[in-house]
Amino acid sequence: MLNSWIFSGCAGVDELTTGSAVGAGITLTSAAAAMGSWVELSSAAPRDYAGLILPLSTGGNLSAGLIDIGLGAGGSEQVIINNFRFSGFTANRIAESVYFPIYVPKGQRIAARMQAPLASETVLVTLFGVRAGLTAIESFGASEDYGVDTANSKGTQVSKPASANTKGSWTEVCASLTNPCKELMVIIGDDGQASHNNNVLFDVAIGAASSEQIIAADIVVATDVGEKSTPTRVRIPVSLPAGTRISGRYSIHTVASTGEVDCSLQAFR
Amino acid sequence: MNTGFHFAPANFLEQIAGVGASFGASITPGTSNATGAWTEMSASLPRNFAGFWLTAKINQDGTVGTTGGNSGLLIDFALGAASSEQLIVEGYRIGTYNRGSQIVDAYVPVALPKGQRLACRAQTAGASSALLGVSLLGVPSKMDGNGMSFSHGKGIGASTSTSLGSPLTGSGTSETAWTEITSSTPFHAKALDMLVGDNNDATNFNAHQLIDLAIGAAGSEVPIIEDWQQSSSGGESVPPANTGFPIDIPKGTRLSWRHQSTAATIDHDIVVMLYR
Repeated sequence: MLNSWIFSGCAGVDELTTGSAVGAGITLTSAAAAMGSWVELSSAAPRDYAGLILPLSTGGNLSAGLIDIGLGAGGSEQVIINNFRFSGFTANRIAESVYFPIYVPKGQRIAARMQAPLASETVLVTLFGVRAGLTAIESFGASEDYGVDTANSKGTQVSKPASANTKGSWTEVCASLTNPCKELMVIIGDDGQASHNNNVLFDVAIGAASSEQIIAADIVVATDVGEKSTPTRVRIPVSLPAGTRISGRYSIHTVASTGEVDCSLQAFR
Repeated sequence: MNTGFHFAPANFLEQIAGVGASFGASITPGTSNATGAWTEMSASLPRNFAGFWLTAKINQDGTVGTTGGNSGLLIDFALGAASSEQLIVEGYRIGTYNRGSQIVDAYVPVALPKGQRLACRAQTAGASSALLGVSLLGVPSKMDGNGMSFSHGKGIGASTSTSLGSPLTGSGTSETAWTEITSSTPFHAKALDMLVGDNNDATNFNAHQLIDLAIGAAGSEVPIIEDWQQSSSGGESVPPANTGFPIDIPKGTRLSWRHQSTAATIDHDIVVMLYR
């Protein structure tokens, strides 16, 4: 959508989940390295929404995880957000809140499911809809995921630099976009490891191998002992054609035996 | 993390500041709740930006420079010449976490004009201060519109005497009473960003919470955000979650909040960033 006109006034936000327990939203539960069952978040969206806000709180044993969001009747869910990488924290709870610029029509049932390396891991969620209205809000009809490692419920491991404070080699995260992309959510995690405390600056690029062109440079990322770091997420407004290759690289302050970084993408169109 | 705001299409993010020993641009927060010195992020912004991504971490693990006892951080941004800085983002609440984890990855929907000098400062409650590593990536303005882009962001509830937000102690597993954040908002806001931290309470229990935000007079609160999922954790290790909400709030509005936890008594603090 081109924002040819900017209207004053914002349309507002609705909570879409109902029936929350004391202090807790709706529980999603993993299967072992596979998506768990769909759980209904809303039986029918009460109006059109330009996007969804998903706040989440993890259980205590996750090293990494993926979430799907789907529309449609029970047993016939159509995925609109596929393999979204969220945080792991093996010792304690951790909270995140994520905005997906994805359109949801009025009346649609909304459900979600999750996976993790182990079975029976949990994440608690609630869900909000950003009303679609006259306000010029970027909203997309679909998204695709790239670089997801479903066997380990995380993103693609990016090559660790050989020396401190020097960018490593580029690692391909997406060989070729299936469709044109208007917005790219870059998700940088700690590779699901009990990583070394470290400082990381991450670059994102498009282009063929050895001809990478940086589109976002030096994103601050941290890794930490005990997988406590929430993934860093940055949304990049782009206009990328189908077939585009996307890659990532990073520098690190201390080159340790552990301390890898993983990257996955949500491409909105 | 904050990805709740919206922007116009561009083809890249432009680096404004952020290079330095895998750490970003270093900022030294003011200690003991004293205002920090301004650090220049850009001598002259290279183009107009509709907003910018802020990613940052604290150096609590000793990998860069000094370490210290950061315990709650407020960060400001300003435009203008040195010693004449004009605030455009004030009282943005970022992490208390006492080691090396990521403390913020947020989109700040405040416009940055070409040619302006941009500076940043921070403050913490700790008596000593770790460096703050910051990277700023600008979203270039476009002729076909800038989505949600504002001129000013102000942190309601931010306390420069604690470097935290407005506190609220939990009530076991019961919902707390509505607690005022401000009796009167200072301007008509077009959007808000809810920044909820752990009130720098290392004794917080490992639990889940739901947060509500309301407008209206005492006893007549009307929730505008209900059941926003949050968590608390031992050791102050949950960074403030944040999300942009495109909600209009008229000038003079009373704001209040409440929360409910799955266990024990949990402290939280909140800063509501209002944008105009």
